[in-house]
Amino acid sequence: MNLAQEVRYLVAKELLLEWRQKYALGGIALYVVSTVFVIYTSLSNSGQDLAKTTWNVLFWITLLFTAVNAVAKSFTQESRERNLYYYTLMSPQAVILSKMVYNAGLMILLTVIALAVFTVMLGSPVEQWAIFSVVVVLGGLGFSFLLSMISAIAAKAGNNATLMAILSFPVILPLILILLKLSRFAFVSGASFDDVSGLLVTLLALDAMLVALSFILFPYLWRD
Amino acid sequence: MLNLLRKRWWKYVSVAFLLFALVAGMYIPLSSGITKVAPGKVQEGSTFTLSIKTYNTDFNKEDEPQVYLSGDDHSFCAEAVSVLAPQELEAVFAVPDSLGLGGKGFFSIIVDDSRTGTFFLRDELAISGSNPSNGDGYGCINDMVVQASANMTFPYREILHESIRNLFYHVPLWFCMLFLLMFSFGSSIAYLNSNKLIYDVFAKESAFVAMLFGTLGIVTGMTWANFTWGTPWTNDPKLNGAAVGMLTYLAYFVLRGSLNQRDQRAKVAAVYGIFAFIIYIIFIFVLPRLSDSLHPGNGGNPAFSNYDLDNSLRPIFYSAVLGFTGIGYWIMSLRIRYTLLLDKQQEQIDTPYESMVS
Repeated sequence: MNLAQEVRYLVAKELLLEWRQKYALGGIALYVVSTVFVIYTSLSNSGQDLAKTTWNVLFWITLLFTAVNAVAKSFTQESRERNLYYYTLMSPQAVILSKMVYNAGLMILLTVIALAVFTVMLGSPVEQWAIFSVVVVLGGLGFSFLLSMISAIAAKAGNNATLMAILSFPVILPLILILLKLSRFAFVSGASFDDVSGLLVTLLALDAMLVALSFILFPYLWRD
Repeated sequence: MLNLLRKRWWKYVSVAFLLFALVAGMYIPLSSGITKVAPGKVQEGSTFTLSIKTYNTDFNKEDEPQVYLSGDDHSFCAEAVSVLAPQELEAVFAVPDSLGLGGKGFFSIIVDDSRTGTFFLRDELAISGSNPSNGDGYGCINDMVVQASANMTFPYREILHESIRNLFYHVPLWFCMLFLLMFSFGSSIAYLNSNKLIYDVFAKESAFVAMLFGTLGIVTGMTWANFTWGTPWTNDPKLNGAAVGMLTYLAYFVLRGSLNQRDQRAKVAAVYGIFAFIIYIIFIFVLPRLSDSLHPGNGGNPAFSNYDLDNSLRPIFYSAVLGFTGIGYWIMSLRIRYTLLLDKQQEQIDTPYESMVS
């Protein structure tokens, strides 16, 4: 089997598993909704309008915590023996790529849910939906690529939630800062893609580099 | 590598460099400078007395120090200069009444003393007036001969003052941290390639010493920032970069601590070490693109290389870098040897470490 085929089978397996355990996906979706609801009630009690910057920061922080929670289970939801079985069948690159592809899809779905709930409850300062969707998609990809690798590392150390957070937060900061800066452009009605092209290229390069790094490093990690 | 770490010569060399940097960095005086002038604002066509307070000067009536104003293509000499104290002058100026300033012009104050040399305060005096220029040059600046100070001095800067000496501590400590982190990164790669546990010890101990130097770098930096910027911590990309680096490597140690099996710990830590180091380096290079920094060489601030016109800072700075780096590697080598001895004692390593190195 070549790599693409292996990845396709593994992603199909992930989807099947997710379908059988629908409550897991429902749980994480509920996590997003509850988080936004907590933000909404806290803010509505303060009686003040939400500034664009605050909206931006809250949105991405919510996504960050959702992503950490959603991706953390990547390497622990199945038993160690079954993982071993996959490793005898597939190449390690296929394993990590399939996790990244699957998590990317999951992240984009969660982002859409978060954005919808944010817009309904807190309103939306977004003026340029084209720019914002590109940013959100690239951001979701970056989150899932980086966190997939970190969750593989954390899984080796028993995968407690603290470890996942402290390992990922410092390394995810460059991504978050670029995303915050980029989404600010989407709030300006006159902004065009020319204004953000430099930052978008940086973000793309960062995403590509995360894939490359995981691709190189994961084979060292999976062997027990 | 271990053999080189055991050698003595480079330790002596780095101690010599560090001692030179410490002694010279503290001993060499600052060059003279102007701390305060009054008044700060005059009208053209007026005659006024400018009082000048200086630093590190030793004025003397016999030396007849000269004072000039210069700016906007004009320059004039003081009519009379009186020495009030070794660090205080008074100069009387008569400003002509048609300079063509177009509202307001900023003038630098230049003091020329035969013993302390020539020094100036840039654009400190505002002269206001809107008369057209009468075309005459008011030049007497031609009389002025720029004299360098006879002794070796560090440049005097308005905000930095004596704290310019922190350049020999703050910056080399960061450099040393980066060199040690690079060593840790290289050791992690070497471990994944060879599976020799000695490289894991290298990676861990160099990261540990790097955090030590990073802490010292942050402390010296905060002291410096408190003096020059008025606050120990600002939202500056370099500060955030430093903080992120520290957080990353503290997480690295927590990760190491949560793994018990030795080979697995080495492997997982090496993978995270490589991953984190590369992202950290990108962070350092990407972040300044996102916002301005107060640091020299960023956001329109002049770099230190523009400051030391007489290159007085450079040799001491470089020897401080070499000295601190050498000391850092020395501490690291001691910690590595200590860890290896502990391992030997506990017989946790099956093979003696000499065979692992070869």
